[in-house]
Amino acid sequence: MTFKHVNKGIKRVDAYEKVTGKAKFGADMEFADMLFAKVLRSEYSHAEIKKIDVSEAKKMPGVKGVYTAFDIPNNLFGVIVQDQQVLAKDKVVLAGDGIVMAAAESEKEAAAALEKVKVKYEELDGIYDVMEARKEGSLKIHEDKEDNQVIHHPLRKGDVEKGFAEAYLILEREYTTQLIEHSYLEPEAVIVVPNDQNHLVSVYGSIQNPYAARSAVAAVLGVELADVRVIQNHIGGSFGGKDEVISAMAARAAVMALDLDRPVKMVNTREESFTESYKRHPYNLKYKIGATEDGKLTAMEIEAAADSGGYACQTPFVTWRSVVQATGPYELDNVKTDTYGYYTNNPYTGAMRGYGSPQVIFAQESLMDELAEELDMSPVELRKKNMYSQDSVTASGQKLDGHTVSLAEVMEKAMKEINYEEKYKEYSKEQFGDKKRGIGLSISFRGCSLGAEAIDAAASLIQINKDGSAAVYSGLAENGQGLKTIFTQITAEVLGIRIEDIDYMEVDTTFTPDSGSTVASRATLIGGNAVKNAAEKLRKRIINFAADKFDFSADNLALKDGFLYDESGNRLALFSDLTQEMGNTGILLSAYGWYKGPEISWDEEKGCGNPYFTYVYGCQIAEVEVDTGTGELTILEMAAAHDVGRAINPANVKGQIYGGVMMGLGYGIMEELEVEKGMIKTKNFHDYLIPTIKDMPEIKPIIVENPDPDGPFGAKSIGEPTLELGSAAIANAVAHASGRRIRSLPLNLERVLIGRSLHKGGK
Amino acid sequence: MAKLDVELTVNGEKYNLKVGSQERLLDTIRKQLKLTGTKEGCSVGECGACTVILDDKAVNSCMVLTAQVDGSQIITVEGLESKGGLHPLQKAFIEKQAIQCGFCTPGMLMSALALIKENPQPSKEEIKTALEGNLCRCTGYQQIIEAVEAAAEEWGV
Amino acid sequence: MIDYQLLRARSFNEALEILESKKNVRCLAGGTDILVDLHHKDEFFDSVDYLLDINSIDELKGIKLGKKEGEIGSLTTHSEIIENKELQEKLPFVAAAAASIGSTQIRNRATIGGNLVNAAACADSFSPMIALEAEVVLVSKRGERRLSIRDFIKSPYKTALAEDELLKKIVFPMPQGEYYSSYQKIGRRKAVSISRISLTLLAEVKAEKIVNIQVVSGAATPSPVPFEKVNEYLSAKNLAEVDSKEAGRIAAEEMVEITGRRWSTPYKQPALSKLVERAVEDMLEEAGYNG
Repeated sequence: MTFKHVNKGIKRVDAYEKVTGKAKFGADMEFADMLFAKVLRSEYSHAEIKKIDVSEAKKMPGVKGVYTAFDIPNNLFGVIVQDQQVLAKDKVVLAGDGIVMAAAESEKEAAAALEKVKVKYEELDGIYDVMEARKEGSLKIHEDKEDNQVIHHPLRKGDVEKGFAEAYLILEREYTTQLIEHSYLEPEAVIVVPNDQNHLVSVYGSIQNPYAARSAVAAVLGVELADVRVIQNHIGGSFGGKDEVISAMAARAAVMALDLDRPVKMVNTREESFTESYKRHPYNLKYKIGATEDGKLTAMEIEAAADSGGYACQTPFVTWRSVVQATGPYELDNVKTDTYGYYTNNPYTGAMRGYGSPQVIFAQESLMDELAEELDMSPVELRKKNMYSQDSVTASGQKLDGHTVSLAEVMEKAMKEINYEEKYKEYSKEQFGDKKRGIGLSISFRGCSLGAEAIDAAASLIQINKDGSAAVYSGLAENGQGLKTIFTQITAEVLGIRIEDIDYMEVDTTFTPDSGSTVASRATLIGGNAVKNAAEKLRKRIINFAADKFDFSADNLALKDGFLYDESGNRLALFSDLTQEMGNTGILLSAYGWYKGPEISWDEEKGCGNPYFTYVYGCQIAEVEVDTGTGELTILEMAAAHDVGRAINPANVKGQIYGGVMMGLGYGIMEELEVEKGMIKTKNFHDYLIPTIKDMPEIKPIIVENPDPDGPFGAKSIGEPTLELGSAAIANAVAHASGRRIRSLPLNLERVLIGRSLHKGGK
Repeated sequence: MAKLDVELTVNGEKYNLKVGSQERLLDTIRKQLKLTGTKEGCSVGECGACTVILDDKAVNSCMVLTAQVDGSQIITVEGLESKGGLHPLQKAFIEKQAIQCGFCTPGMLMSALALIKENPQPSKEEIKTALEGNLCRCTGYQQIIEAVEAAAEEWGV
Repeated sequence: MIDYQLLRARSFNEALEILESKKNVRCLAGGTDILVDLHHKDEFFDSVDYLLDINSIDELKGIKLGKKEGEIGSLTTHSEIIENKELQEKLPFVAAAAASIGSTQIRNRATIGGNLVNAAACADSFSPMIALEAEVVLVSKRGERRLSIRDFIKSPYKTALAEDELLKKIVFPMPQGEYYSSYQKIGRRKAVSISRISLTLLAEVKAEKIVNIQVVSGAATPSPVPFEKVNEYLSAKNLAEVDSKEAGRIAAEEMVEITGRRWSTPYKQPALSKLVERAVEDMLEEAGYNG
């Protein structure tokens, strides 16, 4: 199939604003008469609030209002479990909890006022270890809950006892992963304007999920959704991170803005962002795997415990994705998986690119290499013996049909690109000197979009003007990933018009239809289908009009390059002439598009069903050099092969791969949020390190295309798969190079050199 | 506390300003001059989002007090585009898809501009050194390097 | 609440007069440390009534490397140090240390004087200067005095700089004859990282014999210090007798003697030992041994 606009590296439609500094982000916006607000956060990670005295704060210069939980109409919110406080009332459960907020004429005055607030706490014992939280009879963090368990997802398939009995070799291993920060470059910002254009409040800012923010603000204020308007601005990265934290911020600003009847702006400093925002879940993972002598897997038993921190947030869904991916892309008749989430007094954890998969992939793909070594088999051979192929059945009992199962293809292409076989052989020989090289790989399958988490549907709206130009609206949000460009390309392709003739509109909850959240690598797949649907409706309408007008059969007409063509390629009319005429004749030139994903199923009790309607497959390979004298680790090269169905914009897909590989590298070798008794110690980029340009290996992106019948033009997902594989590939390469198997992330200097991590205050 | 008089030339335009003792160059640029293309990402000189060019050198504008740089020449991202159109660096960033969320982009452009002005044919390693103080969480840097290379080829002498 | 007045000195003399006449004045050079403190509302500012910007004082800038003695003005930025061709050639370890500091943007502002006056344990400027046996020149209205860098740093973030004094320049004897040097640093990432450990080695060799040796730690000890025992071990040794592993072992042992066993010791001990071993090996190799 040849395309005019899709499957091409079209330049980003938002690039001009972004290279000229014209793009307005939340912090760049100003409104007349605007106030600035700041929040006072807890000094403890677990404490009762005995008394809050704001009298001195109220007297401070420039201060317009000082608020506590008692001023908030409805203080609880949460997408899944309503346990998150807008401001802490009687008790703080984590260090990021806000207690008092103040609005003033300047940011400095608001901050100065908060310094005058006196809070009397009674510190409580806390729980900072997920394994402690799960113990029977342990201290309860939320009084109203039975225990600290947020969720338990079981999965049972076959009979693991039987499977282990058949095994020649049984391996039991434990792995742990760490708490990490999204580290979007733009700290959170919101502005709430009261009584604005027929809305009670309008909310602007760095909002990943405008509809979720609208729901939270409406719920907190106790008003209807229609009273709240959320308009997304340019957003400086999110990666899953600007959701609940922004909802809380927007709700706070809305309370103040309404009370004071003036716009209220809140911009976090980086330290505030680190303190308050949710993180990626740390996991404790216990794996038991059995295999025959020739490497066929017989059983796998997994127990995973995720640290949810003080709130449930997205833990029920994050851990659910872990269940589906926990066994990796391997055929197994006997599986027992138990995935849990627990409350602790650590920073709370939520959605972050990958969403419960990077943790289990690190464990399970490390385990595969460990098993291969025990079986004296190459890591590739062991994988090839067990990995999914067309029509394989997953752990949850889903038959992988209806799309191409391309594991063998992605693996082969990645191996070829990085010259795996040769390097593997070379580095398996004895190496002299301190610096040793190794190569390691990991593979994954990943369910696309939300799966059984929630209704998976999205809407769009396309309006064509009489002059043939068009405006595209979607309920999904541009977070930097390139969605505006992708949807513009799809519209141009279907309508046969130029990219330049299309204006892409920002999400505005009042004018664009609710499409759920821009998460789960679902935008291109679900949102793209919705845009395609609207464009197809309009194309049909235009073609039918033209068929009448020129007395042609509609089947013999086509829209291309801004013209109407007949079947022999004769130009019959300008697109703009047709739209002009249609407009003048009173024909509607706008259409809503709608797409709901194909049927899926899930039995939560047994952990079986068809949780996702399609999957993507990926393979990443890392080549590393380990300095066995100092523990320094250099990632030399990484190959990343991903089946995206169809790349709507290959240059953009490459950008996703480069970025995801680097984020995975940071997760694998350097990032770790240090927390002591629930208090965050690393609050800015000087002590929380993310990869710089110098940490970048040579990255070889490989786009594999097996069009999916349900994807727009065959497209599936790319955002998250790119980051879930790196840490395991790197850990495997390090083990190959140095012989040291590291089962905890990150692979920092200490772990690489002496095999364990060291912490201040530790022994 | 007494305000201080400062004369700055920003993107070729002269400004006579009064600044406070604690006012950072970043505050002056964003709040007084309303040039919001320069971003604040960390406030401690670690992320590079606030990078501007100060007398031909790339600096973090969060790490400079405005009163310190009286009489200086400053270029911000808004100074790149001219009547003749986009600067070759801007064109290259668009062409090579070196942008995702765009928050680091202004700072990246400034660091790259300072580099190419001083070293019109930088090696890949020199590009990396020039941009090591500019964090990007989206792009993985590869397409940014390609853009700087392309711009240097197009525009460097 | 931070409350200070910014003053701008237009000449060296004016700066000294301000320092003499006013209390609680702190000098502002590149600003890359002080502005971080300002953002954190650090208690540093509790005792500051005036920040004195010294950036326009030309006497404080520049690098002069003579035959016998060299000097670096306190306001010299790390970028200026790196870009100085003569320094690169004669004192490559000083350039290497400067290049390992911060990012390009930071190096364009941060000065060697500021780095020394701030006196962070991990400040990368120290160990090369100690290896050079450098002295700081401190000037006030009362006169001028010289202090060895070692006497200048009293403890982390504390120096011997008096209230009315200005650090004018750093002076040092130029290494003579045949000499070898190395600077190594271990950080948690490849750029813009704080030193976990850094190390400078500077050796003068005459007739295949080490006649002058300085092995100096950075970040491995609370304040950078020469490893006396390693120096003793290497001193006056014929290159042929030098055992690099032994030097590494001695250094690591000496570090533990200085710091005591700390949480980071299990890592720093083997890593430092390796850095010293490599520095010594590099020296031998360059001198035509071991290779």
